Amino acid sequence: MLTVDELKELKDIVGEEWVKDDLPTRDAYSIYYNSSSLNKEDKLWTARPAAVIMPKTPEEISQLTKFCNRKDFMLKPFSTGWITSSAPGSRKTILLDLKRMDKIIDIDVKNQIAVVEPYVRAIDLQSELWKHGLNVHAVSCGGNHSILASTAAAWGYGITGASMGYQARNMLGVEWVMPSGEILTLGSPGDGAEWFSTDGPGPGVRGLIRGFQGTFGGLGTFTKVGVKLYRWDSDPEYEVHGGSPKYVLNRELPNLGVFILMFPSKEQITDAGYKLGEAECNYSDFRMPAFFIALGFTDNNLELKQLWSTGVFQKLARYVLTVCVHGHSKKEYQWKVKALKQIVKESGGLILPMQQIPLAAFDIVKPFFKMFKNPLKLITKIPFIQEITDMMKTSEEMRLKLLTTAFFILVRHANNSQGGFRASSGMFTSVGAFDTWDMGFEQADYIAGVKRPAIEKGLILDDGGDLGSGGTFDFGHLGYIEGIGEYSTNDPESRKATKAIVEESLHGTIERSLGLPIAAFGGPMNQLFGPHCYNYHEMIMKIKAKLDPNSSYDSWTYSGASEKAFPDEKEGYTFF
Amino acid sequence: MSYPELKSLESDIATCFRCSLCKMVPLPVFKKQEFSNICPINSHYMFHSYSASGLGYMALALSEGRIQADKALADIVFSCRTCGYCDMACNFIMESKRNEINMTLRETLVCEGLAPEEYKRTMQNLKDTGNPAGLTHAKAGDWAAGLNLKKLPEQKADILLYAGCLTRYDKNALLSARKMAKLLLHAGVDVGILGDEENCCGLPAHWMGFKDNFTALAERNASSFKGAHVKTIVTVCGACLGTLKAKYPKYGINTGIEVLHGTELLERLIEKKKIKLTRPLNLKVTYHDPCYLGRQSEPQEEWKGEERTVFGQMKYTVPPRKINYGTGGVFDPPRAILKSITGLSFREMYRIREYSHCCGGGGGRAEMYEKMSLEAAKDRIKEAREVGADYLVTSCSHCKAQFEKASLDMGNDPISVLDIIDIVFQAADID
Ligand SMILES: Cc1cc2nc3c(=O)[nH]c(=O)nc-3n(C[C@H](O)[C@H](O)[C@H](O)COP(=O)(O)OP(=O)(O)OC[C@H]3O[C@@H](n4cnc5c(N)ncnc54)[C@H](O)[C@@H]3O)c2cc1C
Ligand code: SF4
Ligand code: SF4
Repeated sequence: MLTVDELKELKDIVGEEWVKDDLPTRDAYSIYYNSSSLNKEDKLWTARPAAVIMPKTPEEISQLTKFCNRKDFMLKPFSTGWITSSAPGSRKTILLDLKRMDKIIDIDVKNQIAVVEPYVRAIDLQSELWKHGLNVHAVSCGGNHSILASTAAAWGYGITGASMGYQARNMLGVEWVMPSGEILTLGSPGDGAEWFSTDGPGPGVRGLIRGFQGTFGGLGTFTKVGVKLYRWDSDPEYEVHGGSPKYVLNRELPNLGVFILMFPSKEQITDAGYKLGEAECNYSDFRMPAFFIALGFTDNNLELKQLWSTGVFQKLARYVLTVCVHGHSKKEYQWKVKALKQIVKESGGLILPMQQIPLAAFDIVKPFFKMFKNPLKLITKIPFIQEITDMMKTSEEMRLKLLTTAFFILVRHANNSQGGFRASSGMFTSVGAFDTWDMGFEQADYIAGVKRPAIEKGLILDDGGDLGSGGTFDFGHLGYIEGIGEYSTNDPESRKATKAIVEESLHGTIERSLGLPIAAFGGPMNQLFGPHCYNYHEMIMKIKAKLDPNSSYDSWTYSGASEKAFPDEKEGYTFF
Repeated sequence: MSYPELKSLESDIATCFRCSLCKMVPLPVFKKQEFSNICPINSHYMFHSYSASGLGYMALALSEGRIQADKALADIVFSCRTCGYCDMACNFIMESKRNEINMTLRETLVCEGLAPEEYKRTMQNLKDTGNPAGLTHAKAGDWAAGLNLKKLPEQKADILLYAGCLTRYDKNALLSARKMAKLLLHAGVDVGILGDEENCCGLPAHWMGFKDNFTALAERNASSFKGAHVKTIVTVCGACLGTLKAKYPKYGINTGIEVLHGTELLERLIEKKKIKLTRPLNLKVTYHDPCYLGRQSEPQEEWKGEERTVFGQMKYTVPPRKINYGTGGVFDPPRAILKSITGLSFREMYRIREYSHCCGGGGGRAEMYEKMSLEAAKDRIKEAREVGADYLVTSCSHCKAQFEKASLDMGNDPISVLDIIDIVFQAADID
């Protein structure tokens, strides 16, 4: 509990109205996405923060940090607070909700750099950038996440990674309130230059403050970040018609096309992925699992039930890659589309016509699909099948509908949440590591196997098992497919089964050398993975001890439970 | 202390995954950061507690006994403007019950005696005078003096023109109501009013969480509507429309009478050339969709069916339960009317239709949260200015009054606020 004097001190720093220590507000900050994964009693609640503060400037954060250096409290900063790693790890944690810091400080068009504060959401920045012919990498959770968080503090894998890389690579200069309270500007801006680099002059600390996964609020607060931008040579804005939940583009955007590529086998989809990258014709791509495709075709779960029950998607859509092609000129766009078509042909795939297919059609083709194990393999053997497919047309509106769905996923990051939560209310993630594009599919197969017994018992959603979602990065040099599953937030048995799946898959990842998964962050996970990965956990603990000797920042998601945490807050967890 | 109504909503609360999409325009229609936030309480107070998600978590905390029903909670809960955006936004992702959670939480606090004193006074006014402000300087039917409208139920008419209590007593709004009546008479519509028997629609009681008073008022009104034997009720004010059309049925009160907003009838009359908009108006206007004429007027269909589970954990309903996306509100008629006026230049704002930004004036006793509620209106005026409008047109007396107040407060950059009826009246060029 903060004393009256301590509260006054905090209020003097940020102003009375920006400090809240009433119980209702603190409880409003004690639930996060899937936070039941942290609760020993299987409730949604995390530790209740000691207070919630909304600072406005780095100077205020610096003073708050100095306060925690002196006192038995810790800070935990977050930008939007969407993901569970924003949660307080202790009742001694004071949350810093950075929503008031929402400025796009600068867009340097010539050098393709944006400088942003924490509460600039990806869609805020992207909307401004399009007006300047620029774009930014956004992670797959959707345009409502914080660009600063994905750049400087946490993960950073998104659908435009094919051409823009993962977001840690796009981090340029950083303004950082260190755990000591000192404000340090790292990289080129620290020397009075522009925001073009995180490193130098002098030794680079990029690895130390960003690393692979991020520091998740456990090592100070980032208050500004420079972000590398990419070109956008299409319209600065678009118009839609229709209404919630299906807004439809009025027309196609210039120099931009979305394609749904279907392949009969894993080998073919992976080959195509590499070739597309080699030709640099994938602005963004997303391996869309069959269940999500079926979901995208329907408006409600009854329709989804009927569609999925046809069994068509399970056979036809096992290996689907949705791709956005973007050209910097009309000519370049045309060349890229031509290259894409050639690659699909060479890889034995098929480009689905860009038409929302009437649901009844699936019932008609159902018997054919039942007859064959891999009907797509046969279909792709039919002479001129692509040409025949290309001739299939229903209406312009049906075309725009499907095109819009793909555009919102691949380019605008606008409907991602719709996919994850409609079917069963909860979504979890397990294995999934940055590695080769092939490895992504191995991971997906593996997790599908781990999920199987729970699916058979009806404890998690029967999505066919393989809900591996992700894409290529750095034009095929890397790949990332996340092992997703869907569970019910309201069924304790479903939650329990989910926990068990994630636990098993994390250990299985090590046994099978499947890479460092998305869940590999925070004390217990670092302890688990560190010994198999150059003992990185020891390095993290050394960095933390050196830079934050007074535990001014809550580090449960970074180096492990903080010194200051209560004993009951130092136990392990399984994050999903 | 146990709260069964909240308990029954616990599983719905648990589906919230804190994405904060209920604070901003739907991502597919996002245009500009400056005009992207929608929840008026969140935009002002900023803390997550001031949002549908935060309200839900606090409701869960109360239901589980982690926190008490106290003033700290009430201060937050009653600040919500009940604009209903969060419900629509969350339904964009999944079938949710954000509106119901918000309302149940405030109704629970009212039952616990935690409603602010001002709310209690307002309820007393409603009981004593039939209007929330407790005004007694005029009778309910005075606004229509000299118009020679039929008096229902003594006389018979096809249409009941329902002015609503804010319209009746506000000196500007009642002029708009008079113009509406004149337009209808001019078009030869068989229209009457309840006169001094007209009561408040009950929305203030609903807003403030006085569920029993609201249903009692609604029942009384329903019986006088039925007694008037009309085919259609036409409301002047957008807020009354949403109450009669969506909230009455939600609380189990059905009149069986068609309810229309004035703009819907005007659009039909213009289309049939019963009203001719002959006079050109060289105005640059934009239109504000009032929450209760827009998304909140979409009726929640009573669903009878079965909830089933398939694929282990996927719930579905047979027949499919209709999800309220707010798209079934009255959005097109006002736009069609404005666009049919010669010389008038119409511009859309960024937050429109089902994702319209609240004026801040709803939710009950907005003046108690003056800074926040005026900020919401000022933000909207800025948006109107941004799209180049000189006139902010709306079709709800509450919104209009709120914008006028905010505009005055803005000092150097006021905007002219008009009821759409005033514009139609001018363009129709009648006296
Ligand atoms: C449904 C869902 C899907 C997701 N999918 C992906 C995905 O595909 N790829 C991916 O990379 N991530 C994914 N994420 C994780 C995560 O949300 C993102 O990485 C995102 O970029 C972080 O943004 P945020 O707005 O969620 O940040 P926040 O929730 O605000 O913060 C995320 C973390 O960063 C820390 N942090 C935030 N701001 C600061 C700051 N200013 N200073 C110091 N630390 C800070 C917080 O403490 C927290 O630990 C997903 C999350 C969800 C909920
Ligand atoms: S209420 Fe709905 S929209 Fe708001 S944060 Fe929760 S899940 Fe997201
Ligand atoms: S009803 Fe309106 S004011 Fe209230 S929480 Fe929802 S969006 Fe915010």
